[in-house]
This record gives sequence, C-alpha cells and structure tokens, in this order.
Amino acid sequence: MPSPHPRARAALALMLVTLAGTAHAEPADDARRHFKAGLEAAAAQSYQAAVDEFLAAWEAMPHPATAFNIARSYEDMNDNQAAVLWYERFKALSPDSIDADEPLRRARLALAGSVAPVEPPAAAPAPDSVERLTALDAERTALVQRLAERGLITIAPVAPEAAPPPAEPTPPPAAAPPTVVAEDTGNSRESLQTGAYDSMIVTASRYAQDPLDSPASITVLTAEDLHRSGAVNVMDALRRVVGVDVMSMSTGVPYVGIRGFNSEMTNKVLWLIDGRPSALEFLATPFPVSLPVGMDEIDRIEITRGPGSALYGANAVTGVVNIITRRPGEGPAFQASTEGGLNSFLAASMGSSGKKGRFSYRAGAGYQQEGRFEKELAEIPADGPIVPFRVNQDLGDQRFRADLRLDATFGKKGWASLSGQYGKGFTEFYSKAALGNAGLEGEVGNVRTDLSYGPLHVRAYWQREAGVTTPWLTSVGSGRSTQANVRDDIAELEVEGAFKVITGAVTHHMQIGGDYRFKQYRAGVIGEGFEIPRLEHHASLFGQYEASFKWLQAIASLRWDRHPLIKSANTLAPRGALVFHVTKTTAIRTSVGSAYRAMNGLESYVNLDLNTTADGYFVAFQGAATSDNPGKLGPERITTAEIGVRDESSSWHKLDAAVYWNRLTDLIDIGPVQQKLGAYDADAGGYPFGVSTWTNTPAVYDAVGGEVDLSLFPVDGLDVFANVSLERIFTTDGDKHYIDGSTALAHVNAGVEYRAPFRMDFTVTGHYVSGQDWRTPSFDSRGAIAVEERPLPGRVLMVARVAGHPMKDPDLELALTLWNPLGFSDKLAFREHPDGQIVGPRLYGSVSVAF
Amino acid sequence: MRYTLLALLVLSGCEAFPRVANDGDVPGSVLSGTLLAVDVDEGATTVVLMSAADNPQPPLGNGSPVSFAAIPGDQYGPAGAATLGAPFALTDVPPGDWQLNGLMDVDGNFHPGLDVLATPSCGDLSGWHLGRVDGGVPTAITLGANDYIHDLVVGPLTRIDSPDPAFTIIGPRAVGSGLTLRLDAVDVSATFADLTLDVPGPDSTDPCHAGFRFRRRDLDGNGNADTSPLLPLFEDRWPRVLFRWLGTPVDTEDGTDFDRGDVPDDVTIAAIGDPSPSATALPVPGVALDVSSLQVAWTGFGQRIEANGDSAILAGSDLPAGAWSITVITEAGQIWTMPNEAGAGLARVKQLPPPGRTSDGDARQGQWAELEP
Repeated sequence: MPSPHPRARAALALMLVTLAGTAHAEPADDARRHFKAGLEAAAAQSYQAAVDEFLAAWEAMPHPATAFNIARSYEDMNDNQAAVLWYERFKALSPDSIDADEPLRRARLALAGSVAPVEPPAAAPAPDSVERLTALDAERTALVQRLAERGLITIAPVAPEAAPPPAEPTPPPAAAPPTVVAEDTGNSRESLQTGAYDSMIVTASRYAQDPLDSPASITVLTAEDLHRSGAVNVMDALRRVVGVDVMSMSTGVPYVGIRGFNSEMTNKVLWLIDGRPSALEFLATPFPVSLPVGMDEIDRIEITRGPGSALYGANAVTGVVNIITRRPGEGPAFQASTEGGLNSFLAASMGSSGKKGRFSYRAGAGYQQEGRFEKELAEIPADGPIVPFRVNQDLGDQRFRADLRLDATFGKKGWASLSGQYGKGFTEFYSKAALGNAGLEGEVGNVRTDLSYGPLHVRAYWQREAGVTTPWLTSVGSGRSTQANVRDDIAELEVEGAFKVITGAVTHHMQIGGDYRFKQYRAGVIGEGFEIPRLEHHASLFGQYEASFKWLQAIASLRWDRHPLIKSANTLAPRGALVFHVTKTTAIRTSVGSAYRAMNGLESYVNLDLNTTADGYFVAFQGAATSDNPGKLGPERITTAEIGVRDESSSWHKLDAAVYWNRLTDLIDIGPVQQKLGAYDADAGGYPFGVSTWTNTPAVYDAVGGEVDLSLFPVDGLDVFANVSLERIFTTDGDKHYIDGSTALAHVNAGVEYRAPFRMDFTVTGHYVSGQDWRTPSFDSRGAIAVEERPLPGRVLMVARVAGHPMKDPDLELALTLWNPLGFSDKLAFREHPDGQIVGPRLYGSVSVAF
Repeated sequence: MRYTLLALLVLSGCEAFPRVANDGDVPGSVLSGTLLAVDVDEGATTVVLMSAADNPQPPLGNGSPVSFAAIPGDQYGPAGAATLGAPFALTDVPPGDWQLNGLMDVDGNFHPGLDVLATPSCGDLSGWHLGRVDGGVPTAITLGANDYIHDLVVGPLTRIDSPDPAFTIIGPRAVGSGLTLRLDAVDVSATFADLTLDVPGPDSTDPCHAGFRFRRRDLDGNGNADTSPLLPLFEDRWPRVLFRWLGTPVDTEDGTDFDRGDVPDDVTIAAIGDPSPSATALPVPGVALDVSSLQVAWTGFGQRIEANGDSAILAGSDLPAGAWSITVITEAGQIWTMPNEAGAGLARVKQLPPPGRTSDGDARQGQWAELEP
C-alpha cells in the first residue's frame, strides 16, 4: 500500500494532535463510566451507542484501549474508514502492547474493497493512483467534518506547502498495561479491550494490582487531585485523605501522621519516591525542601494506611506514602508554570518529557519560596544581641530542584532507568530552641539506576544530604545556639523478584528480595563530632506470598532487617491478610501484622545541649549510641489488626471503610534528667544542669479507629468526595490510664470539583479536625521534665480554586487559589500544634502552559 | 464588586504577613541589651539574674532569681576601653515586672546550682538595671506578652570590695528572747571543681578576706539611723541577718535530717535578726565599719510565706522551735548561709558533708541556730 499523500498525512497528524486531549487530561472517573457504558452497548450490539460512549471516554481521557474499542466498534458498523483511522491511532499510541497489525490490515482491506465514492466518479480509482488517494483524502475530510460537527475535535488549518512534522501524540496517563482480551463480542474479530482506566496500585504489595485486591487500606491521589488541591507542597495535598493528619507548624514543614501519633518531627510514616525511601536520614522524616520532586512531575501518590514494615522495613509504622512520578515519555512534551501571591509566595517550574524509539526521558526544574506564617519579633535591630539565621525574617522556605530521568526498553520484557535529582534550599522548622524555631539550609542529591528484566528487578541508589541546622534566632554569646553541621550518605542495592505461577484454579504470586544499605552519618554540634563519621551497614530480606482461589486471596509477608543498633529479633515484621471478593466490585479485607521504627540519626548519634526554662542552664542530651548505656534504646513497635471493605459496584461511586486497632509500645522520647552539675561551659554558653538521653517510654498506646471514604462522580465533570475518620488512643502508663488527647477524635474532609463545559474548573474543599489536648514536655529550671496541658480547639481549613482554560492547544490554564481563608482573621486563625505558628492564608494566581 | 473585594483582599494582605507572634506561648518575650562594666581590664563570665520585682534577690529582697543568662567573657569589648560592654538576652520571659542584676564572676567561683557558690564574692563586679543610664536605683522592667526589649542597660557593674561574710557560730547556738548568737568571720574558699571548703582561705592582708561590713543606714543623712523597713522598732542595719526554719533535727545514718512535721517543704518560715558588731561600739549612722564578728539578736518577728507567695506575720511563740539556718546578706548582695545546704542528694554525689555532719571534724558546715520550745 502506498504512503498517504503528504496532505493526507498532514491532516491525519493534525487530527491526532487535536484529538489527543489536553495537557491536563480529564479525570478517569468520567472516562471509566463512559467506557463501561460503551462495553455494555457493544455487548448489546448497539454499536453507534458504543461508539458514542467510547468517544466520550476518549474525550474525557484518551487511552489506547479506548482507541481500539472505537476502531472495533466502527468496524462492527462497517465504517471502515473510521476504523482504519482509529486502529492507526491505537497502533501509534500503543505499539508494543498488542498486535494491531491484523485488525488494521483487515480494516484497510475492507476499506479498499468497499471504497466506492458516495459522489462520482463511479469507477473506483486504480490502486496507487493519485485519483484513489485523492478520493481517500476526500473521505477522510468528510470524516473529520462529521467529528468536528459533533464537537469532538477542532480542525486546525494546514499550511499548504510545508507540512509540519507529525507531533508526538499526547500519551495516555500512567496506567497499567491493558489487560488482554476478556470479553467476546461474539464474532471472529478481536474482542473489545476492557482494561482501560482501571486504577492500579503498587505500594500495598510491591507489584501492580487492582485496589480491590489490596490487603491494605489505600488511597490514591491522582495528578489531577494534586493539581486541583491548591496545595503548594505534597504534604498539604494529603489533607483530603482519610485517616491522615497534616500539621503545619511553619510554612515549609507540615508534618504528616497516619492514624494518629502525629507530632513535631513526626517519624512514623515511611515516605517513598518511586518505591525507594526518601527522608532526611538523620531525622527519618522528609521536609518539602528535601523532596526534589515537583508537584507537576507526580503521576499519583499512593497512601497506605497501616503498618508496612513487612514489605518496606523500618519506619513504616502507621503508614506509607509512595510518590510515583510520571514515567519518561508520558505527559506533555513541554510544560511550564508560574505562580505568585501573598506573603512572598512565588513558584516556577518547567518540565519536558519525550520518547523516541526505545528511549525516553523526563527532565524538570523548579523554584519555590514562601513567607513565614509568623515571626517572633516585628523588628530585629541590626546591632542588637539577637542574631537571626537569615536577615530576611519574612521568608520561611526557599527551594530549588532539578531532575533528569532516562529510560530505555529492551525487548518486550526489559527496561532500564537512570535518574538523578538535586534539591537545594532552606526552610524553617519547629525546634524547642530558646528563641523559637530552627532553620535548615542544605542540599540533597541522589542518583538511581534500575534494571528490570522479566520478573527480576535490581535497583542501586545513592543519596547525599548535607546542611546546617541552627536556631532561627540566636542570642549573642549563647554558644548553645551554635550551628550543627550534618552530612549523610546513603547507598543501597536492592534485588527483587516477582513470580506468578498458576496451578489449577490457584494463582500464586511470590515476591522475594533483599537489600544492602550503607549509611554514613556526620553530625557535629558545637564543634565536635562532625569529623567522626558513624557508619552503619544494613541488610534485609523480605518476601510475600499470595494465593488466589476464586473469591479468596490469602497473603503472607515477612521482612527481616539487620540494623546495627537493634537486635535482629526486634526487626522481624510479619503481616497476614485475607481478601474476600464478595463480588467482582466489592472486596472485604482483613489483616494482622506488626512493624517497627528504628532510631534515626539524631536519636542515635547527635549530642545536643537542650535549653531549660532558664537560659543559663542546659541539659546535655546524648544520642543513644553515644550515651553512657549504648544499645539500651530499642525500636518502637506497633501491632495491628484491621478489617475493611471496598466497593466499586457502580460507575458513579467508590466506597472504602475500615476499622482497626493499633497497639504502640516502646515509643522513644526524652528520658529523665540525671542531675549532674557542671562548671560553666563557654562553648555551650551556660551551666550544665544534668544529662539525659532517649529512652523507650513504658506507656502502652491502644488506638482504635474507623474510617469511611466515599467518592461520587454522578455526572460528567462533577466529583464529590467525603471522608470521616474517628480515632481514640487509650494510654496505659503504669497505673495511670488516660486518653491521649494529642490525636484528634475526628477528621472530616469533603469537597466538590466541577469541570464545567465552558472550560472552567471549580474546586472547593473543607478539612475539619476536632479539638486536641496536647501534653508537651520541657525541662524546667531544675532540669525536671515538666508536662504542660495545652488544649487546641477544633478547626476548619478550607480551600477554593477556580481555573479557566482559554486555550486548548497549547493548553493554557489560568487559576486562582485561596487556601485557608480563615488565616486572614486574627480571631478565626488557628494553630495546628500548641508550639506551631498560626497557620496563615495563601492566595495566589497561577499560569501554566503545556503542549 | 467581586474584583474590587479581591483586590482589597490581596492588597490588604500584602503588608500583613507574616504575622508577628502575639500569643504568649509562641514564644515568650525577650529582654536584651548591654552589660556595662567599669574598673576592669577584660571581661569574665557574667550572669544576668532575673528576679521578680515584688520578691527580688538580695540585697533588694530575700527572693531568688527565677531565670538567668550566662555571657562569656570574650563578648566584652572594646579591649582597653574604660567601660566594657557585652550583649545579653533573656528569652522566653513571661509577662510581669522584673529586676535585672548583672554579676561578673571575676574569680570564677560562681555556680547557680550550689548555695555556697550562688553568690557574688569580693572582687566580682555587680550592678543592676537602673532607672537612668547615668545612675539611679534598681528599676523594674515591665514586660507584656511577646515584647522584645532590646535597649536595656544593666550596670555599670562595679567592683565589690566588701568582705565575704563567711562565718561560723561561736559559742551557744540557742536563739530566743534575750539571746544572741556570735558569728565570727572565717576565711573560706570554694570552687566548683572540687567543692570543698578550704579553710583557711585568703589571709587577713587580702582585701577580700572574710568579714562583715557593718553599717547603720542613714540614707537621708540626718545623722540618725533609719528605721528598718522590715521592723519599725529596729534600726535598718547591714548586713541583713535572716533565720529560716529547717525543722526538728533528727539524726540519721547519713547525717542529720530535719523533720518539718506537717509544714510542707515549699513553705518558708523566716525570722529576722538584729546584728551588732561584737565587742565594738556601734559606728556612726551611715559609716561602714569592717568587723570580724557580729552579735545577732533574735527579734522574735518573722513571716510564713506560702508557695503561692501569700504571707503572714509571725511573732513570739508563733515561730516554731527547732533548727534555724542563718543567712547573712551584705549590701553588695554577698550571701553566706549556715548550714550550707547543697541538697542531700548532691551532697552525697559530691561528697559534701550533709547538713549536720562535718568533714575532718570541722564543725562549721553543720551549724544551725536552735530555738527552744
């Protein structure tokens, strides 16, 4: 068959561009509803209705399977021209997933055999003749006109002589490869594809699975959710997730807790980027400045609620947050955005993604800054005894990031990836310093490589984080406020295998793997310690076995870690789960398991001089490994049991509910002070009062809770979500029994997103947290730990966002976001922690373009 | 209208953020400024002591500092100047009225955690925040929530040349109506490093040898001694002598303990002593006289001070029988107390003899006055 005429090629290319969808693809829920309706119509042999539904799904969110089904339905209608068009589109979008040649060849043959011009000439032109190609061009033009009349495409003018190079079609959003044929329409042609728009998750079991198969409670935030959330960092975007508490103590560092136990420097949630741990190693908690990933580079965030040490090791105590970035080659070829607003908020980012043959890339860079919510002093005289960390006391967070990823596929089973990320900046974070918070200035860089072939996957990774922490305000002569230098290096090698075996009616999934991790900590406080590196060698073995038989899944997982400061027996983390598939769209899950949190670098090695209520006294606080009794500190532990249900039985809702019990023991906290008076210490700028170190507290915490999460998408363009979580933590400390009031009883989140037909989006969300009673410890002037009761009232944080898309190609978006409007009012503004700053408002506009 | 409101919102918000913290919790107020020191060639470690204006530390009152900051000596400058200055800051200060005192520890023997060392000594420099930069009287500072006061001046810190009032009780230790105690100055020295009281300390030729600088106050200069601000029937005399009730002595294996009965430990029962030079005529009012021995009469008046600051006058038989400590406070704020209570636990740690016990047979640390029922 000869190549199409250049003009026809150009027209086809332009159609592909205009039909491929906008850079901000519409949500999958609408697409999924139309897709399912199309399948039902096709099964009922109502092919025109099927085409209409599939085209509506395509309009909502392009997908290769949708293109195939459109082609297939046109073929059933004997509209071979349209069938050829859509088979060609399918092949262009998904060349490797399924063999498209046969249906395309069949359709072309049918077209060649049936092309008889509706209008004269009567005789079919000879093959390969200009007349035939001209007739083909005319038919295509008629098809384009029909689609344009239905408003499904826009027609762009074609330069008469210079045909523009065919643009890369907008690739579909990240999704699992379409499942192979599942439904038979009854004839000998290939069956319709059914695997489009199925949301897949990877975090619950370390391999891609349907959420209905997940043994854990899991929520997925899509790129669209993030884009419309109005959040300026990943942590704030999690506010809408059921069971998650986000606590902003300063502009740049919101702390995230899952199922309670959120606190300053929270460390009970494991953060991953594309499956590898990502946190400031010496704190084991991430700050936004340490996550060198732009919000626009994220494909989705999977939040697993409940312990995850059985698969991921230490620190996945109450949950796992896995940030999954867009794969190279996905998303728009180029995108850029800029934002600006109140309180010195400014952000800019740009990114590029492309694919050529076996190779693909993604690159991005960004900058963001924001003013502080609060400052301690209105003015600091330049020659006074108070010395600020930064001269500009208004700015609280500033960061720059850049990243590059290169992927290559080889064969049908293999792929390799090389990526690097870099971030640099400073941020303010909570610290019980004499004059308020602390500042962190530093940089993070990492290099990662993955190699995967068939069931095997190898990952190697190196990260360095280096920086300085210092009190935000220092009083001259107070040596205790000396900066602390930190530099950590982490290198890791992980090997993992995933195997699937079917024996009769039982499907077996097995995941086994192991890793080695090397850590080098350097932390110097007051001129000591930095040149002495602390080395740690870690290793782990993990495995998961899953058996599926009809409606029942049984999962068993176990992980063992070798931690240099923890006895091996204390690192075993088992999990067992059962999933009952009541129907194809409803599943009940139960699980039991345990997890642990290891000591972080700060707790292990850093010696600090902590303030008391009298400036002249300090308590020498020792890292656990450097204390007088090293090895005594053990990990925190959690034991859990949970039962949950997930229902997706209609095309307009999703429901997830769970009840759970968690028992936490051996929480690490400040130990009692052993009085040990000392002579004046000029370096520390005070008199030592005593010594203390970290200790496992004897209290036992029993958390009982429930979560209900409902999403509704009743009509095109409208998404409604609402979720409620209730939790009570019963504490037993010796013969004392009380309720831990620092975890709020209730979190309620609700929101509405409406994508109007006139190319405007509206989003309104509200997040309610009930009142809390914090009990915060500090040293008094006698060195005793004084516990103060500090209540916080309930509060609501609201977000509103409106966006317009005046242009579709390139996709231009203008948006205005109002985040926490109550922050404008001195009376209604609130804190989220007794020592936190009053959470301020954010009002900013944004302009973004993508093509 | 919507756009106007939005513009106003944006414009009004531009200048208003970040907020200035106005809640006393986050954080407290800051008192900062400059220490000034005269008559010294180079700086030494200086503590800035903060006490409540209604219960100030000696010599303004009998209270204790509630907070302090420590400033390294190398903060003072400029080198060679007649007046040296150093910055200081007290943070997280709650609202209230506060007195500030600066103490430059020239001899390096100050430590806030031990009674015997938590006092200025002869040769140190001391001064207060005054009402005027060029002089005046110690003046309280009023602080609200989240105030930042950055222009305070504490000082000038001037040299203390009065002898340290270290003493031992000579003769009978009974106090009561018509009874007097004899306190003889004794040279002792102690540093934090070894925390032993070395006897003897400086010899009599040392300008800082032990003694009592006695004065009958005559602030109005009329030639008559002023009336005591505490007891109108008595003269206003320095050094001040205070008695504090310890309890009923009980011998234990570790030494002597004091049984306070149903009086809580955080209640202070104090009595006032009336000092006179021993075997020496009273000096003319207003004139200071360095003596080596005092006779202290029991006035029979005192006060019971509750933990919350409430107080009640006690007199005569209201004052409980038992052991009473004796504290001598000089006009410069030097303090010496017998017995030296460093705390029973710390005494064991530091191998100090606990109250009631002596080391090497020396009876001086374990002494107290006794009031018979």
